[in-house]
Amino acid sequence: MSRKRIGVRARNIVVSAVVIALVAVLAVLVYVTTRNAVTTGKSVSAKDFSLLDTSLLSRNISDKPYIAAENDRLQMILDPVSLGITLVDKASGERLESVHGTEEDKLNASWKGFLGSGVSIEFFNGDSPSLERADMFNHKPEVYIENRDDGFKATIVYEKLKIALDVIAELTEDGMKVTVPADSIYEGEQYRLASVYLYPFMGATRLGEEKGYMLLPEGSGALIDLEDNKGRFRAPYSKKVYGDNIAVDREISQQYNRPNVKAPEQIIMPIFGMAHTDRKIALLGIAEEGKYNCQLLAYPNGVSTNYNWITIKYLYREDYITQVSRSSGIRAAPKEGDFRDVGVKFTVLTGEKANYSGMAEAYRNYLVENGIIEKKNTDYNIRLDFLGAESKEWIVMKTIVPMTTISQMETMLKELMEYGVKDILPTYMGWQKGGLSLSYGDNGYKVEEKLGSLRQLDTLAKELKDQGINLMLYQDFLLANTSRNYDTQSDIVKNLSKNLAKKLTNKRLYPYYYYLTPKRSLSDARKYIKKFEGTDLKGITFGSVANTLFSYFSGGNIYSRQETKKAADTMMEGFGEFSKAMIQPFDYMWKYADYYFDIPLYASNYNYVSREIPFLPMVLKGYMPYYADYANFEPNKNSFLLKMVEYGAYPSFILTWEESSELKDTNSSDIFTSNYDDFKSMVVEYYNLLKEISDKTDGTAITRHDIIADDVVKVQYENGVEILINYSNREFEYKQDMIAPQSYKVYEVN
Amino acid sequence: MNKIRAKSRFITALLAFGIVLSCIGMAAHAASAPYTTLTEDYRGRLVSSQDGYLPLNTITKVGDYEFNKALDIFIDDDDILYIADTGNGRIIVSTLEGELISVIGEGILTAPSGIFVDREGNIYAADPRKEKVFVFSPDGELIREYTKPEGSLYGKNNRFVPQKLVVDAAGSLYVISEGNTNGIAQLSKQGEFLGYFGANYTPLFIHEIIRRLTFTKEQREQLKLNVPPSPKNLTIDDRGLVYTVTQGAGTKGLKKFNMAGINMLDDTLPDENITDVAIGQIENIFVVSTEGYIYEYSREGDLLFLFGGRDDGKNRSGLFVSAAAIDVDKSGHLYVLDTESNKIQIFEKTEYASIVHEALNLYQEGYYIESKDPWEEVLRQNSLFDYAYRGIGQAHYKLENYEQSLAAFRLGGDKAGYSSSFWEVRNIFLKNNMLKIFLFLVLIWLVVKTVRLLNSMFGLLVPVQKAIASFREVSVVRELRFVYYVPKNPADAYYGIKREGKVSILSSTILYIIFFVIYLADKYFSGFLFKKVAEGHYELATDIASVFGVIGLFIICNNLISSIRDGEGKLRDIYCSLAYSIMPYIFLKPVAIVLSHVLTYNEAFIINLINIVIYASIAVLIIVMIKEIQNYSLRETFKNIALTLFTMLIFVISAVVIVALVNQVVDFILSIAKEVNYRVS
Repeated sequence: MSRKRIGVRARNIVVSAVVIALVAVLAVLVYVTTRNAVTTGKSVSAKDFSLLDTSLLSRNISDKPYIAAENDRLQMILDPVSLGITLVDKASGERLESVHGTEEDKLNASWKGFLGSGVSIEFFNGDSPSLERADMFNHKPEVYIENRDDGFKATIVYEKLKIALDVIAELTEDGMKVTVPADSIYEGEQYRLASVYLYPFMGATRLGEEKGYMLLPEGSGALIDLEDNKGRFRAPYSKKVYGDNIAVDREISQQYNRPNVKAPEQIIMPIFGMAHTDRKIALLGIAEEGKYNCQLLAYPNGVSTNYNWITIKYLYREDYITQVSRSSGIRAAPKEGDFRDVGVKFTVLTGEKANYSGMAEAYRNYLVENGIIEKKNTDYNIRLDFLGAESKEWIVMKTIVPMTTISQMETMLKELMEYGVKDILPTYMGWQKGGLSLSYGDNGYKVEEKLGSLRQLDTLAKELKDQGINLMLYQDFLLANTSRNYDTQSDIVKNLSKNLAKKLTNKRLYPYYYYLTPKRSLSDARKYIKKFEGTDLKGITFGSVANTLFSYFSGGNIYSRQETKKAADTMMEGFGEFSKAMIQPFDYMWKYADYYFDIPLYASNYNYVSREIPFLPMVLKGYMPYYADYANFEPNKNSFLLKMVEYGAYPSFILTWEESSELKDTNSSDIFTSNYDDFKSMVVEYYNLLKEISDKTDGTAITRHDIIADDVVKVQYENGVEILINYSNREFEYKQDMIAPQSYKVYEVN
Repeated sequence: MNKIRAKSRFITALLAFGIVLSCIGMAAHAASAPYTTLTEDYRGRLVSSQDGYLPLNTITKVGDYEFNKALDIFIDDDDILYIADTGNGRIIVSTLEGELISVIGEGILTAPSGIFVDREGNIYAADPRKEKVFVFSPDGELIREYTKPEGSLYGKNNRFVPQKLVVDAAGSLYVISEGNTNGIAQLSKQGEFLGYFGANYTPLFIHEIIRRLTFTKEQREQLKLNVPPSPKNLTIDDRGLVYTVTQGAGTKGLKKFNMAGINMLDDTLPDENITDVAIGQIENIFVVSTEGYIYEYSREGDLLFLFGGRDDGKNRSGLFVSAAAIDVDKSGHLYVLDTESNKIQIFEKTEYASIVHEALNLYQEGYYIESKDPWEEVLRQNSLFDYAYRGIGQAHYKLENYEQSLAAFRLGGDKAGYSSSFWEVRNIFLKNNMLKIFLFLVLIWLVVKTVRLLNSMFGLLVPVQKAIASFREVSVVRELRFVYYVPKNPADAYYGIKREGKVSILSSTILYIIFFVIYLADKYFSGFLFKKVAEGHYELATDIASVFGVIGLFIICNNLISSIRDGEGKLRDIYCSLAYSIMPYIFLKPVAIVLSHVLTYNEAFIINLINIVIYASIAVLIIVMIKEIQNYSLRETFKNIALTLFTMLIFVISAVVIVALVNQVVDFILSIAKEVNYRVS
């Protein structure tokens, strides 16, 4: 070719390349911009402030407190300036105040206003991700009060902030209900409503002036004593109800060669309690509407103020991290909000019921009345989980590590039955193709070949059913193993920064899992139900689905936690004819659960918690059978046994046929001891010990739980049985008996 | 492989727990921990474990006294707790429950950062600001002060800024002085300087050596002094042995010194933030880092428990903002001081840890047989605690159950123990079977002789021999057989490869593949004693990359260099000759592999010898190869090899740089995309 022609050719190539590059960049920009036309999911939005018409509302005539409502038992006194409510128990004359603050407390303006107001809000200012607070004094709202028969409706209007909302208080026989309807919320452009506090200081006390405690829904229940802490504590208890929201909350980074900080327990019940034991008056708060996105706050005295207070804060918006580069992001305030009705129910308890035992009973009655819980079969069983298989790295691919085949499981069950362990609730885990970790996100539901066949499993289930044993299969419909391909637009949860949400595992093989969207989980669940139609495998143990609640971004929409909850409801309804066990389910799942697995026996080691109490067991006993976590890994086996006795929990073990050292290179490497031969005798012992107790208490409810001395606990059952547990290392005298250190004694009704 | 576990009944176990508990006298609370606990397997990998220690209580105040930025605590033999309240310039003396006994040193001390209490109850406080060590009587009276020792031995330019100290039974002080890199200053009771003790070593890196060799005197003076890190903290046990912890010393961060000042411990886990050490009742060693990680080692330096962690801002007990000091009381409770949050966290031993200690104690004192049952109980509770297998192995060895001790040592990774057990097992095997083996060999010899005889008489094997002969003449086979000629006359062999077409690319490739297979066999299927890779651990991709990568790189670079420097060899020649040069490996390594399964450490020298022979002969062959193929003189050959190695290094470095650059570009593009995304939405 001639030089000239080469030159021309070269020039043409260069020009074409530049043009193509420019076009590509333009295309990317266009795509990126159009993709971000985000539409909110189905949440209601606040109304525009300019539409607010206050002409029909009446301002209050008087500035003095007056009786807003009254019934046979209680009186509600309203202070129109602060919107503070005083609840009076007519029979005893005891009062519960909701606004506080004295000169001695030396509060700054912000806290003075907050402590002195019945209702407060938090909001975002413009693009700033920091929250600001407005109460009945700061930001000077206009308050319009409409008196009603059983209470009042207050419309609070912040002119400058352009935010308005209604608060409706209704006195009931057992207490009070406070709600904020979603359609009463108005907003402007600049200031956006983030959260609302409804009577956060109801029942609050100052330093150690009142004796009593605050009840936290921490683990199974924990108490913070109302004593003068002398400034020892710096940070409050602040936790989202129903666990952190994976879409918004930042996760702890993971590391392999160091111990990990364990995540604290999740809040299972949206409740809180405040008891004034000397005055024999107590309060139980239950979040009702809008409870899927709220935060529990408890401040022992010394943290920010001299007051002990506990409340639930309802969230409409939260700041989140938005990615700006591969490795970093900045906090931002969202435009969209989660507007729905929110409400809290306060139950006032007096006399002998003004303690956590009374609160447990009140809560249970509430659950029964509202259909959140039903009486299930609470017969005693020992829970035995069998791990089928796992996977590990081998040269370039993954290989299966079989731990318990179907026939081995059968052998173990039969042998245990011969030893007298007749009431077993077995769950087969990791039975799917690929083993446990690889099964996440797999909707084929094939039985792993090395373990056996579907027919074998079905036959075994039928045989066991004939002997009164319900074989459960473990299935997690929420997690997804990253080694598979997914349609990330519709099947995988993205957080509000539009990144794929990850669940860290702190293991090398699969360092994290994804979450499946409810849409995909539902369709997987339907496939599962279809697969096992016509078989006897109608027992299922749910993994994360029952204890994970999240909002998420998918396919251009944002979905709230409430919508995720509805999807979970739909899934459970599909499993109507299955026996369902759930791992530590939240309260809204209880009506579907037949078995409650992994009831928390401990709180999370918070410094300010005075002691742990079995509040949740007191609620569930007699209604649903609940099982402790695996006994295999407990370092203090005797104390653990005593805990199970105190809480009335049934025992659990995880067992494998093969040695647990086989699991070292898998994602289940934290199962470091599970060999059947090692645990055979312990299984039999625990079964017998706890069965004895269960037989004596005979499925009745726990009526009272008391701490009668240092490390000595007494539990009373409805049928009169009393159990005394001595955790100390000294003998304890009770009813002319000397109870040995670290042991228990059951007193039956004569 | 038989597992050696007794089936102990739960009741007996419970009784055992009970006995142990009553001996130690602790309240076993049913508490939990906000951290996970790890231990080591025999490969030194960290694996899960039950918790050994759980958080019990915190001490935030002693009576009405709070402490401020306290830097040290000390628990004496009477279980009295001393807190160096650094921020308030005093020492608080308290009971273990936090009840006030007395306050010492107010007005005298400014910022005490280290304390020690001797057998008589005298309190030694190191005050770096005052540059003195103050000694108080148990009543709080100041009885003595130590300042910088007189004389030039200590070092004129070394200041005396005491931070931490211990005192031995004779009353000599061991003082860590800030900034003094010579080690720990040892002072007599009278304050005379006795010498330095326990200095750390500076690791010398290649670039340092090169610098030293090549820089001028002026340049060297400009360099920063390469000094060893000074110890951060120290402690002394009942026998008078001194332990130090040093930050930035990697696996030598924890040291235990014998009387001669020599470190008795092997490598321990590296932790950049190591900050204090304490000794427990069975000479177990506790170490804490500022991040709040607590390590417990046996007295030999084997990791038992690793737990704890950083406070997550949620006020949970058992996590730390900035841990500064640790000590142990007589019942085995741990006390860890958190400087930033001004509290002392108390940990309690769990039942599991008590069993481990019981087993360990018996084992350390030599009661191997008695330690077997507790070790088996430990394994029952945590089957990943490989250390227990060593104890069980020793017990079986003493009981002469060599097969069982062999299996146990293997599981526990105790190669020395395995070697001894294997020796015994082999001995027994040989004694029992010597006759049979001998007869078997004689039989083989007879069979061979008979067949030969028959063959020469009746020609039975002739067709077979013919087939073998014709097989040997197949071109590839003939080329492969050329391998035998190489060691006989290397120079001529290479000439044959180069000019006479004695081999082909196919045969060379076959040889490379055989080499790789033998390499894999050696790496993964050697005997337990000589294997360097963990059992069941495979990294095939790395092996392929490294073996073929290195070979390929060598061939290419050598070809490049040789072409530049007028070598005669072609790429093909180098490729084929190298394949034939590695024949010593192909023939001798399999022997080593087989031997590795039947030899013990006593005979390890045989395998080492074989390896030396292999590598030396390969080196020689390669030198001859290059000389012949490229037609160089000997001198040019060495130059060629040096340049080849240098070129290989350059290749690797450029590859690393390019990968890093590409990564940066990708990162950059992604950042822009994300930024656009954020701005536009």
